[in-house]
Amino acid sequence: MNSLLSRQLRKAFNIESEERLITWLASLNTDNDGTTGLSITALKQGLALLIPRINESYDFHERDLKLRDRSLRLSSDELMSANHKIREENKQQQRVIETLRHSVNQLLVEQGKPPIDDDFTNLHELSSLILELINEQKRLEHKLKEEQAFHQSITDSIGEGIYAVDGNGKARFLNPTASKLLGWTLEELQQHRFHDTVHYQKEDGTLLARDNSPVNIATKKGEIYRSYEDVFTNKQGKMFPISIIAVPLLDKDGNPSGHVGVFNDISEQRANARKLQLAYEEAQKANKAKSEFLATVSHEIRTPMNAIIGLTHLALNTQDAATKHAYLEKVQGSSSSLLELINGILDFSKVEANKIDIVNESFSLSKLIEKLGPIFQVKAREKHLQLLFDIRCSPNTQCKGDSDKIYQVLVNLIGNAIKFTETGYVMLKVVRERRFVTFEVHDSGMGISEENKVKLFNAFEQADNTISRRYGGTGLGLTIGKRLVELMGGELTLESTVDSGSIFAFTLDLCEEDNPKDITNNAPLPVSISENVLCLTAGCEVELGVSVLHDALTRMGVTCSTIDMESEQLPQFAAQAMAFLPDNDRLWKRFLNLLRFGDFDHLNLRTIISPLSKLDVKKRMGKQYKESFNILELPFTDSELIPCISPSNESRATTNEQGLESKYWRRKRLGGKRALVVDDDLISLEISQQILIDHDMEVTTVTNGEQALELCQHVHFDVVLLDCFLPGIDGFEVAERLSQADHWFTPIIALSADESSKGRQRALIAGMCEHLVKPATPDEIVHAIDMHIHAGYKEVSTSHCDDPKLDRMLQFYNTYRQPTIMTKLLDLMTKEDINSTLLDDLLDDAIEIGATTLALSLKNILKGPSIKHLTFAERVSVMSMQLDTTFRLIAHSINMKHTTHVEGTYDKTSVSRLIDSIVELLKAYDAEAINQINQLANDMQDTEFSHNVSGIRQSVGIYDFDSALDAMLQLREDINHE
Amino acid sequence: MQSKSYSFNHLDELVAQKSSIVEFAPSLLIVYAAPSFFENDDLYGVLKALNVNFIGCSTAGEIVNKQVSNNSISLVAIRFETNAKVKIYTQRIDDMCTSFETGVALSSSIEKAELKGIYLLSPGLGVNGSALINGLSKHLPASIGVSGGLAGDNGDFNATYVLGPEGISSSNVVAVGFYGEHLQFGYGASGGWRSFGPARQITRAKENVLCELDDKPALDIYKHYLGEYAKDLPSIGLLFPFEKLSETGQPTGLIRTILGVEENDKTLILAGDVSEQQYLRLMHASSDDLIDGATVAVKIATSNYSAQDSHQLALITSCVGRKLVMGDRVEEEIEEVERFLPQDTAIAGFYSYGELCPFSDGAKCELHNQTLTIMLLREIL
Repeated sequence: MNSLLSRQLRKAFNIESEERLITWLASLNTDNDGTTGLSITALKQGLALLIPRINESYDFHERDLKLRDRSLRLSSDELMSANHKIREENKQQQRVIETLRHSVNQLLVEQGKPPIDDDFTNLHELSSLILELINEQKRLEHKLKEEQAFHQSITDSIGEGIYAVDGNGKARFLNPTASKLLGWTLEELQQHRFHDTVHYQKEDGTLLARDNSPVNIATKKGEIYRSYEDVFTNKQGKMFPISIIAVPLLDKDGNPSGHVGVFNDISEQRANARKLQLAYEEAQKANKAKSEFLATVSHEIRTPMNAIIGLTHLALNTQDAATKHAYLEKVQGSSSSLLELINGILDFSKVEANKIDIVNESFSLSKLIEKLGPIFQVKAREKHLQLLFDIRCSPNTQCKGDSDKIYQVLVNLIGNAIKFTETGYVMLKVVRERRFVTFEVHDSGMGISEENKVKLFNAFEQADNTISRRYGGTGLGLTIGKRLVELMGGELTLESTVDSGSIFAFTLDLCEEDNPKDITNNAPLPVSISENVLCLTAGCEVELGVSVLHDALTRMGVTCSTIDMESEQLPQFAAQAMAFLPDNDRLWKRFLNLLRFGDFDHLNLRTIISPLSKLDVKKRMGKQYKESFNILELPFTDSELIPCISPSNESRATTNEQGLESKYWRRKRLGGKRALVVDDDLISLEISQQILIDHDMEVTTVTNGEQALELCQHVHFDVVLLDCFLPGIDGFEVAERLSQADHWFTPIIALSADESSKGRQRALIAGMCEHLVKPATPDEIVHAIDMHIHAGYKEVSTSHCDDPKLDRMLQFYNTYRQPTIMTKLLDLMTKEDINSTLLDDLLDDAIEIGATTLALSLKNILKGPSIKHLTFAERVSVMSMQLDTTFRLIAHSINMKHTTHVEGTYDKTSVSRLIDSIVELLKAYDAEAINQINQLANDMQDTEFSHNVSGIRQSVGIYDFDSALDAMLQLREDINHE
Repeated sequence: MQSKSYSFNHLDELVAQKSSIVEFAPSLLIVYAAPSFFENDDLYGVLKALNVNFIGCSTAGEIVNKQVSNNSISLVAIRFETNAKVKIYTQRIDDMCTSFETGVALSSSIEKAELKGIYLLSPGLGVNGSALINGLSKHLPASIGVSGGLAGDNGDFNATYVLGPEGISSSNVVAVGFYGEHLQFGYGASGGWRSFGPARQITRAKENVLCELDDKPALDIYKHYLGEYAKDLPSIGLLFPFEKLSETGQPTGLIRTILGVEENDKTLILAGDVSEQQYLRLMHASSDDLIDGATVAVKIATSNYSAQDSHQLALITSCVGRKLVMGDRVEEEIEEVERFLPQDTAIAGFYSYGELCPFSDGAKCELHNQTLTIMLLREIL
């Protein structure tokens, strides 16, 4: 029985156990009445209980059914929708699987593996497979990327441009170098055809059609293209030549489609090639020129050489002494021209080999220029040329540079100008503009044609080969000059017109920029010069000279009016007058006539300027020459001009002749003294030597410090002239070692290019007693020696001399060498009193005895503040020193007079004859002159003129016949004067 | 072991039987009484005066022998005839959040030597029974069965009481430890509910608040299934509890009653925890089903009993929900239990707010809803 029903029955009829219930139920069928043990009432009550329970059960069952039904329905709905969803998902999954399989197959094929078949549907396996494949793909991609990066780094680092174009000619790749060379980025270039943007021009600038482009033609045919002829145009439109190798790219069918090009900008190589070509041509030309030069040189060398050999042969074979002598003379002439030639070649090779060092030292521009005058005067005079210096800057201008090289260039230029100018003038013009100094050498020569100008500066080439035949020379001078100017930072230029002259010019950075304040201080104006000067001239020959003079005077603040004495009326009065005369006999005659007739008396004519030498002027003037005339030779410089127009020159001119510091007395004081000159520069050495020999000193020269030290150990010298800058042991050290040696009392005088006070100090510290700045004038050098060579005082014992000049000096000595005077002078120093008559008296007396240095320092005191840099005390101290020196010089002069040995005598007539002969020989450049001069030296040994003769010997020794001739003429004059 | 059960309608009746109880010399007295008896200390005073071990709690219905009564006192006296003994442990629970900690504290205070089983009475309100049981198991050997229940107050949910040596309290948990090698326990639990419809996954829940099933508002699904019955919510919820399934969808035998609904956030308040990822399935029952459930429970509890002859005690804890469903017929489930037990078995117990019992011997103790649980105790000599 259903347990629920059983329970319900048991409850309803209060039957305790199931067994009894079964029994009771069974009894219900068998018993009709009463046997069940339940009363009707109990039965009824039981039924009443049972029925609601059963009802309740039914209700619950109904509810349960309803709920289950709903639940079922819900579940069914959910199931349906779930099924639908699953179906959809399944479909989707199928699609996904399809896609996955497709992808897998694609990947497999890409990786070169067999595809999977269609029944491979397991999503998971597919996924893992695809993951695996993707990883593989990633790995491959990574590898590819690495490889790409590697390739990229290669193409990036390649120094050549690389590009790629596709079949349509569009750029697909540019490496960085290509971008740089072309100026385009790949992105920019991708928009255009590579050809149309970059490669559309031919080398000559004409358009290159795409179809005609050899690169395209070749690569389309599948051929590799190589060329050095193509040009590319960059983004800026600039064309540049390229080298290119283009390799065709093949499409998948193996047909050419686009190409890869490797190119390089070969502008530089092209330029280099051009340069090489030019250099080659240059070298060819140079070689040709060298050959020509060699031909010239060999001609030049062979000619004298042949002469020498031939003549020597002849000389050896002749017995006649006169003929032999004549042969040998000619040999000598040939030898000297050979020497000149060889010197030139050596100079040139030095420049060519860049063996020239350019120094940077302070120097005085005016001194440099003043040195040039004497060198060319004679030559110019000989050719009747006017040599003019138009120096448009202050004589005090201080420069820094290599004065020797500038000098050398100017010597060459002026030398050339004189050599190649037949008539007219040669003018050196110097103009300073701020830091720059321009040197111009003008001439009125033959001029140089345009075509020859080019060749002019080339080594070994003269403007015209025939010139060397006519004028001699190797043509090296200009090349050397040009090189030197370039080494100094300038450029040698040439302006020239055929038949009317040339101007060689160069500009160098030599000066410090002037401080405006200094300009006034630098003004070179002497104290008192005439404000107006009348310039008398005649004819147009000296027009240029007159204008140079005019300009010079104007620069000094002097008004200069010019009158042509031939055609114009002379004025009634002039403060001062100068005569500027040409080398023209007729005009000279006229001038002398006027002079004789006193036409110039009221004009105060004081100066005569002409292209002639002083000697010639004196000669021409004859009796009309007065000592008071200043004779200026061409080229005159400001420093020569100033004394002429200053009023004080009169006394100086007269006193200097026999004054204390005249050459006369200096020779007396210095004659026979032994001097050692140390200088590595042979020119300086020569100059110094000549100056000293000129003062009768015995000169020994050495070119370095080692030699000097060695020599000084064995030989006694009275004075040493020492260049400070020597190779090896320098001058300072030499001086120091010498001055510290035992028993060394010899004064050492420094000669140095260093102008600074430091240099001076260094020299003094090293034990030198004087410091002269190069180039020092002869007067400076001699005065310095004169000042220092007479160690200690020589007391003057006599109170009277027979010689009036000497007597005057003695008076001076006795007057001022009083202790009271010295005290008064010291007093002046402290009081700064310049109004003392003592100073004026001293000045007058100093001028009178010719103590020019003392006079100058006195003037410095009296002039007061117009002299810069020196305080009053310093000026007095300088003056005292000069006074002291003056005393010493006087003492020595007087003592010298007393101890003068008996001079040698000579036969005046025979000497005069010999001199005349020598003069003629020298004029003819005849080497016989040397012999005769030797003879003369012998004849005049121990006479007062022996030094002059030895100077002349020196000159001819270096074949400077011109100087020798000058000196010889002077000697003749001096002897005649005697 | 001897046991004896009493039923009194008034405290006076108990007082009258005082001497008889003392004479019985019980090892332990267990008292189930209506809440009204706990409102003063009289009951406590009387029991205290007996000078024996006693525990007890307020109920939603007292069971003694075959009867279920309200507003009465049921008392069962146990006297061991061997060396078996009991120890009573009391642990105060502060609030629901500390339920687990309370269980842990209690279990650590319990002496483990010769411990055979635990009978636990807990307040029915302000306690998370699941957490309490989990905490209690923490320091107990797995072999120790725990049964008992949460005190009730006739379904009023106002105040529940637990009685122990320390007196009457609404927040004390009282545990009796049974010690003695001769003691033997049998456990059984069953609801008799039938599940229907598909199992749905808990996609959102927090402790005893169920928010979403299969990503849909739990209340919507619940109402959908109830259809026209949904209008009687929340009381009808007692008739349609949830069966709790594990994360893998396997039945756990645990039932979760719907105590209330939140219309606003469409959630259901359950009488016990649920966790996300677990599954729930709807249940329903009739009185007859529940009575059948009781039969199942007693059959499980007695399945290991071979010797039927020795005297034993059956302590029943059944759910207040069952009482509400069955109404007057509630005694029938007790009668069913009695029918399967030996004649002289003493039966006592109460209708609770949460039943504590393993499903069977050796199983883990669980908090049940809507279930009838049985603990059988006897001495084997």
